[in-house]
Amino acid sequence: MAKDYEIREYREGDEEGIVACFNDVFGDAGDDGRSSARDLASWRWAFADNPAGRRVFVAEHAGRIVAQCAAWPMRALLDGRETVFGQGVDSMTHPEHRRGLKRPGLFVNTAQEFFARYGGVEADAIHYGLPIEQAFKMGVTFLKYEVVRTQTVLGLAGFEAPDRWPEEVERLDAFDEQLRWLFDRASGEFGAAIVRDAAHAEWRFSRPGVAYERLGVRDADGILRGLAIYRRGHLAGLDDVGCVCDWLVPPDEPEVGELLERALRCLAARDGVAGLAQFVPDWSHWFGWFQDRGWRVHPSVYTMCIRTWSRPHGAAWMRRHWWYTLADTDLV
Amino acid sequence: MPYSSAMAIDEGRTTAERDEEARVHGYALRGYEEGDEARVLETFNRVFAAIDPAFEPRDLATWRWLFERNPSGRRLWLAVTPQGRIVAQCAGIAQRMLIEGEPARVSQSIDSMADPTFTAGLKRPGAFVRTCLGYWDAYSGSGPDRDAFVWGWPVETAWRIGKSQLKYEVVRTQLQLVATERTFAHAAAPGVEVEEATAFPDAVRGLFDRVAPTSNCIAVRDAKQLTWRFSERPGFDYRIALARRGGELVGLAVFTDGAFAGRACGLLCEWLVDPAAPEAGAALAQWGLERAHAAGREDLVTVVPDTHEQWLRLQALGFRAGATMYFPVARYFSKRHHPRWLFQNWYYTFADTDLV
Repeated sequence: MAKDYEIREYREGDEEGIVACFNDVFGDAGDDGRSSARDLASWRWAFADNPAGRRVFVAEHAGRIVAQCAAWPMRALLDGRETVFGQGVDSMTHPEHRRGLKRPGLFVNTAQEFFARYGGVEADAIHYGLPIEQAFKMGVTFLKYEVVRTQTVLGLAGFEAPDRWPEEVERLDAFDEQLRWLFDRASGEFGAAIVRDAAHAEWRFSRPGVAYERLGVRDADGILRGLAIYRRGHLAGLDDVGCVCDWLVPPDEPEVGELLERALRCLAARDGVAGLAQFVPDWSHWFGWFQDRGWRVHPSVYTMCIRTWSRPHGAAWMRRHWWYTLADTDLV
Repeated sequence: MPYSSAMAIDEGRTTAERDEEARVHGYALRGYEEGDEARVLETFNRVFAAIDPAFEPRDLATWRWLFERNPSGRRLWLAVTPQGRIVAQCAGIAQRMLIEGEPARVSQSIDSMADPTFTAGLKRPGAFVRTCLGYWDAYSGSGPDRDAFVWGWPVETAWRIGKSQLKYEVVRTQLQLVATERTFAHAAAPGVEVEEATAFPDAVRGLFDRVAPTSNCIAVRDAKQLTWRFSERPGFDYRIALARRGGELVGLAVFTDGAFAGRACGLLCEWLVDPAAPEAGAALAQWGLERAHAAGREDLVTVVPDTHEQWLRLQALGFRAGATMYFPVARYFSKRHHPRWLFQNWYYTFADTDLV
């Protein structure tokens, strides 16, 4: 049976078969009534346009793509060293092929080849993701997934809308080199983080079909002092919520944080959404800062997992040092 | 409650085969026997003193409290040489539970160890894992008298063995809730009176019966259990507060002055609030903060699961969530009650742990 499947890296032209398989697996509306059907434009954005490259392995059977293990690679800092993190996305096995290989099965075999190709201390040091329950089980059992945290959501509900938009907050057009400067100033307490620079952010916040609002605060010289990205959407069982997709403010500039947080409240009030929601690592001082402003910590269905190839940087270390936001996931 | 015998540990070996392996290595696997306690305690104090500079030796009174007086029973499995030397121990605090409304049992793994002076000379020591597997054979599995799951708060080294060889899984990464004068809401609690008590009244069971339906998995709180946990624990000083409304017990809290996550603080060790009287929580939290201040502490700290309604209620009262190094893990023996189910359904407080 095994010889009927070819497990291999992506080849030009696979995308139509990948999208077809994805829509067979995920295209039907889920319990929440939403369809996750994918089109080629979304695939190209995710896997062809990403400035950090592509991470895709497929299993092919009789000329059809029937399984995939894929990730979004992103440049990252890990304990002062530049490396690549991969965020696992769109893992799937076509229902007709879930028993296609003997235990541990087609998906795990595909994933093992994928990790052997891309993972490594001098390659992608960390892969991570928020696996659904079935993938989590397989990942822990066969693929060395470790739990970083059971993910909480910082949420703000029932707040009063600010009287006015904070004049100091502007809507940003194109990102430029100032984003990297801001990242360098804001990332002092980050032991690990995806690098925020213009190339990454322009790609990340140009996802097809999603309207992101880019908010920034500049000083008198026009230097970017803080960034927040907002979108209206659904998250963690909330149907209509204002998602704070990204938040990048130097820790010693709380006045910039105040302005951006007020602007986010204005956008949520404008949209009439149930509230605001975001991921903030619990080790960060921003976790307490937001709570002091009325945000509350809620459980979620998500579990943040990693597979690491860097021995010192296991789940316990990442739990205490890794800065990530919703922008580092495919949830928004 | 459905259990799966196919989930028996160490699928490749029977209990008899493991016992034979142990014999070949020069020890036997068995439960605690009268008279073991002095040697168990000597080994425990020696092993833990070697790995933890802050370790304070345990005395016999505390050992007896933990393993002889717990009204929920004893969980103690040993690897012992023919000369009576303790090679390894797998121990637990037994807990009577209500799981989905039905009586059940679980245990919290504590004090597990292997004596390195014995195991160092062996090619494949395995005494610790073999002893844990024996513990599970003896106590865990199918039926209301066996542990539906075994859980613990592992340190990193124990976690490495636990996940790789004993199939423990993470239930959650634990956050603490911290209140200070700056964050505290001082919410009103009309009609609720809080009194300090020197003993747990029988009415605790009635309060527990009203609280229990707020979760699908909870350790039984009654006067007998709480008296053992707090009033009879050697060397600890706990304060008990009872909240009443119209004479009825509607809330219970236990305070101690201690430390958590590396910081001295006041600790709310137990937290039981009638869901029909949430204002009892406000009154008890106020009492707890006053107790913390009286002890010279700025912070009042507690833990509850973030999936339980009390998690948000405590935040509304002025507690703020913060990180800890702790993560409860579980090895489950009831197919239905896996760690993800426990994440959603299990209510626990500091009282369920040996942390405070």
